[in-house]
Amino acid sequence: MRAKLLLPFAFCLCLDVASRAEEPPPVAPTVSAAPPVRSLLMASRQGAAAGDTLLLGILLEPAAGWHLYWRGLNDSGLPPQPRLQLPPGAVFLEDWRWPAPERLVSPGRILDHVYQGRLLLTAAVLLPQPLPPGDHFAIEGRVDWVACREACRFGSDSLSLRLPFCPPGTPPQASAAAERIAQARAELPLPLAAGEGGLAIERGAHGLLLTVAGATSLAFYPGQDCVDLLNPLADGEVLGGRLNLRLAHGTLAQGHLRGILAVLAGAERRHYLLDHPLDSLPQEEAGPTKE
Amino acid sequence: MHRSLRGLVAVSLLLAFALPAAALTVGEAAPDFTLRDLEGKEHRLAAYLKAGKTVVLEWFNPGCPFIVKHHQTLKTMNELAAAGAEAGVVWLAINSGAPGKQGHGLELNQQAARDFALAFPLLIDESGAVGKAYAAKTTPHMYVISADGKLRYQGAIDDVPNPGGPVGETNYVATALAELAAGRPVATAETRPYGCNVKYAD
Repeated sequence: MRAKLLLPFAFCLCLDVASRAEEPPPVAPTVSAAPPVRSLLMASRQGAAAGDTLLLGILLEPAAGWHLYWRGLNDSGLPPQPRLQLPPGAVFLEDWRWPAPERLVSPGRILDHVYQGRLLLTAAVLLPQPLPPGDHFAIEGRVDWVACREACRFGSDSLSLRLPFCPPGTPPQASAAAERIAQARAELPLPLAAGEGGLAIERGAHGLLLTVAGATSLAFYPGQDCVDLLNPLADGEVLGGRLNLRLAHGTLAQGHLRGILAVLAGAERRHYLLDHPLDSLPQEEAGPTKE
Repeated sequence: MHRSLRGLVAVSLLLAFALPAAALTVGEAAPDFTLRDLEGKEHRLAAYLKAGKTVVLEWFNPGCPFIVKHHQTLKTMNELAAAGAEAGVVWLAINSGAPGKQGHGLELNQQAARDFALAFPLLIDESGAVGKAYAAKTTPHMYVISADGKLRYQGAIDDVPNPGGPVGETNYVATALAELAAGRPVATAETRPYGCNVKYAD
């Protein structure tokens, strides 16, 4: 009886505090004071329930004309660097998930992979069971970013989020940000292996040949730990369904082709995560490569 | 000018204008150049090399937050240049920013030289020819050239590519200079440079 009486109060508490977290006033620390990027920490739940898995999101909104950087291979810039401190007992279940960027070639043959619009990084967090003493979780941290238009700017924004504890047995409610976070995750690049989705990867005369059946254009964005490519600027984008990526060191049997493959098929653009070991490919056709 | 030096300059100018911004190879000859500093004085790479100097090139843009970190917040460049000068190392900053781009302009760079208390020449390369000859992509993008004219190091200044980050644990240029001074090969001769993109003309 006592628990039933408390339930409406619990919901009210969650709703009240969560709305403050998602729509902070201009002076709240979750809003960047330094243009040209506004940053905001959000969660998929209005409150914290013991043992629950919730999704966190860091939204970075560059002003019109400005861009942020992907965490993959770039010639310049710096990807946003989130550093969050979770409350005791809470753990990240994964690294921050990054959406697909786009290629940007600047004068001087400078190749970057960037976000020209909003960037929403997401990560799943497991909350402890039972919840520690107290009545809320406070998640605090910072995100450093470099944004460029023609000029470049650096910023370091404070992030904070307060999640009230939901009473035992009270299911956590979706927040107003839940749908946006879910949409961002639905748009993340999906893992794709050779042999799936019409993708073939083989060694060509000068490197790796990627073929995607039905594609009208392909682009490859190398990840930080991708095998060295000879010239991602020249090789990384092609009309049609055959992309030849020359390797930097000729016959290279080790390493992985890691990155994002962008496939345009008609009007539909899809992005895939590639992680293909080179030692799985036959060696005989690979020859030394010289730019 | 010596005939050989004149020939080297001519060849280097041809190279500077003809070459695309493809990466230089460590161990090969560094492209020669002649540029003027903020006072109009000419600086010729070949002349420094002929005098037996090791030369450090630093691509520079006073408005770039990575440059601000290493010139104003941490003094990385000034301190390293001062230490190198005692050993006869010449440090040259080069701004390849084009007119209308961030960091371009004589007065702006003169002000930056005062604000940063630059202890070495700041050369202006507004055509971007020298920057492209070196395939300089970022500010800072660092090059170390030994007295024999060979490129011995290219890449980042250190291992902390964050304008808000601390001093790097490894300063690649300091390490390369120390190795060269000791007569040893540079162990880490190439790293990925970081920083703002060089503001070349469109």
